[in-house]
Amino acid sequence: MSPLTIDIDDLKTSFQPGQIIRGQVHWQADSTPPKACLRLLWYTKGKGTEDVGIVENVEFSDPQQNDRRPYQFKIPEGPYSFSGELLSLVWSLELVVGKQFSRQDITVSPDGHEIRLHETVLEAKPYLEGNIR
Amino acid sequence: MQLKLRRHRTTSCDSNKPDSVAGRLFVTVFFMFFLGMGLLFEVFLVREVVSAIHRRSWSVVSCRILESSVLQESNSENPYRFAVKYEYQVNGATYQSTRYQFKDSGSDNYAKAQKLADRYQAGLETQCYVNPKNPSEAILEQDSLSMACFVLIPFVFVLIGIGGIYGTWFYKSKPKTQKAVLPEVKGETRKSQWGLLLFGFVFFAAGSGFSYIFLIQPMLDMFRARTWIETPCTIISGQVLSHDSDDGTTYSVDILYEYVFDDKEHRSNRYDFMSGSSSGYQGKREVVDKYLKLKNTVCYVNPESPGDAVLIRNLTWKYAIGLFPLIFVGVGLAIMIGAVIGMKRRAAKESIGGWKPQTAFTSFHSSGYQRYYGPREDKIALKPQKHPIAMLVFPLIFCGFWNGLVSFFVYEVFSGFKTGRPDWCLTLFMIPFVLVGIGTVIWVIYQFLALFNPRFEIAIQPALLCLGGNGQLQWTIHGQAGRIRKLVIKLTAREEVVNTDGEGSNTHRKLFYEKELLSTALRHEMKTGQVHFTIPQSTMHSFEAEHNKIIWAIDVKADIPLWPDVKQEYQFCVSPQPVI
Repeated sequence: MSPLTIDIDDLKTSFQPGQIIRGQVHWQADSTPPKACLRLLWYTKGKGTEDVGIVENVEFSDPQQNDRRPYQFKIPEGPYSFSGELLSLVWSLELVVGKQFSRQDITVSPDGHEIRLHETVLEAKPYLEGNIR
Repeated sequence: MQLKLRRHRTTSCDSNKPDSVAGRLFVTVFFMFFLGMGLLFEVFLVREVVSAIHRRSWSVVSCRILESSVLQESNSENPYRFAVKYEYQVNGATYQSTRYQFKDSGSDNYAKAQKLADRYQAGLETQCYVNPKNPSEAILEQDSLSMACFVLIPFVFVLIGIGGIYGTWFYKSKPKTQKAVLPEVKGETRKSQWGLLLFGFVFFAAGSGFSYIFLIQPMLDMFRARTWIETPCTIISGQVLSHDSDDGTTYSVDILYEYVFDDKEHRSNRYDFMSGSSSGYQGKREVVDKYLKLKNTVCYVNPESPGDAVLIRNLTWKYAIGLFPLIFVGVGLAIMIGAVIGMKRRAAKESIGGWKPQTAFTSFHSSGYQRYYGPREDKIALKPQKHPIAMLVFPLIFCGFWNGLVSFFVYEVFSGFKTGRPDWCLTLFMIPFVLVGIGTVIWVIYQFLALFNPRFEIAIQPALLCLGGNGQLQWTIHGQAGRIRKLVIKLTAREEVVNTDGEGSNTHRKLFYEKELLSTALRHEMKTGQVHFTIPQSTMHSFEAEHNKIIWAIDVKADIPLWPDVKQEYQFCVSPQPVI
């Protein structure tokens, strides 16, 4: 077995746009891997075909069979993590070592919670103004 | 850090795969028809090809031509036949045969038969092919193996039948398994682009083939015939040939005439350079009667090959039919170009994907709302998703294409009733097609009338709204706003996803926010106005990736009595809250 682990500082899983996410990744491979990288990405899931957006990709130089590396990413402005009836968007850290990979999902939104589209309390208060000319 | 943008185009047809057993049985019967017909033709073609290949192993024997002429048979689709008699010897025994080829059904071209008669003149010593198992069976020339090119065509129908039945009963979508993200383009996208390219090529090839036969070849012949010599000729006989097929009976003009060129007598039955036959007996009957009455007229003879002659060498209206296959050429070419452009765009795209709200102000710097999005007070005019002229173009093309094709068969039906011999099967068969044709005409009229609808000018301010932000919508109606009975303007947001797994592409939509901004029947409130609105704080901003979107829009619906209503959508961008 070759465990791949992604640790996030302070065991956080929710982040606001603009915040820094940092931590350490470590792996124990069967042999020296040809390459290892960590990606910050988002992906969609639901009724539609999956889309993926890789925001940042960090290559670890000279990866060893057993290794531990620190990382740091800045969470971008968006898109926010959300969940709807047809479509959800999930943020994730993905560690790829050789042919194996591991993911750690996180949430990105202003209040740290996944936005639920069909449960939102709507506060819009439109009003008509001066439409007679 | 860089965010890259992806664009996406939606198609909009909902899934129609049958779920019930009855539906599956109906679909199975449909595909079994394909399978059955394909197998039948495949067996027939393969048998013919194998038989022709087997005859290639017949013994080659010397023979002498005894008689050679061209026979004319009336009341036949191919009235001109090369008649030959030849003698040969096998194992000391003398045999005679009259067979030119194994399958020789004659020709509708006199010149073709005459060329054979000239090639195999009486007294000529040549070779023939004898069946070693039955020496009394012989042919002068081997049959062509060109039909071998078409052997695979019925196989396509067999594959469609088998594939359709399998897909109806056994196909299941593969379960989605999580996998590591790779920067390469998804394989399914490449497959669909290749499929589109192949589909376009089939259209292009078919259209090109028919264009060559009905347009290019006749035009080339007409061009060459400009130098042909005008020669007096005498009409020998004339008739209208009938050609029966599964699609009905078609007719062609057959006028045999004789002329002298370089002190030698020749005969030909070529009327013009358009090959094939068509519906419309009466027109062809009139042509034949006219020439039979004339008796003596002129023809145009090829000085390099005096056996080639034609009665009419100039352009006539019937050559216009050669323009129809150009539609298939154009459509096929457009599809292929679109597929190639799509492939190139995907290949050229960077591997790091992205999303967008797209605005004129979006940039990818790391901070600063003002630098990101520009001045807040700017106003932006929104564009409608559907342009009225674009909404008319497709129905117009489809209506023209559909009714153009159907009209040939409708003319056939009317001709049958007119001559007192109605084809009831064809009449009943054409009813649904005619109804669809009438529907397309109504569709075109509806879209044409919509061109004269009042036009809406919509703008929002600021140009880029964000979640929780306040905005102002302004509208002005140009044209006859007084015709509008009721005007409703709504602010909406929806999920929109495209599923390209399995067969085809399906688009699904689901509204998650809707707020009525204006609903009025008062004329003075409709012409122009403005309304404030607020984008909810705790909801999702605009999002657009290749297959999945969150769309914010202003929906305008203007109810116009006895006229097509105005239904337009104006999409705009809602950004995430700015990072401070």
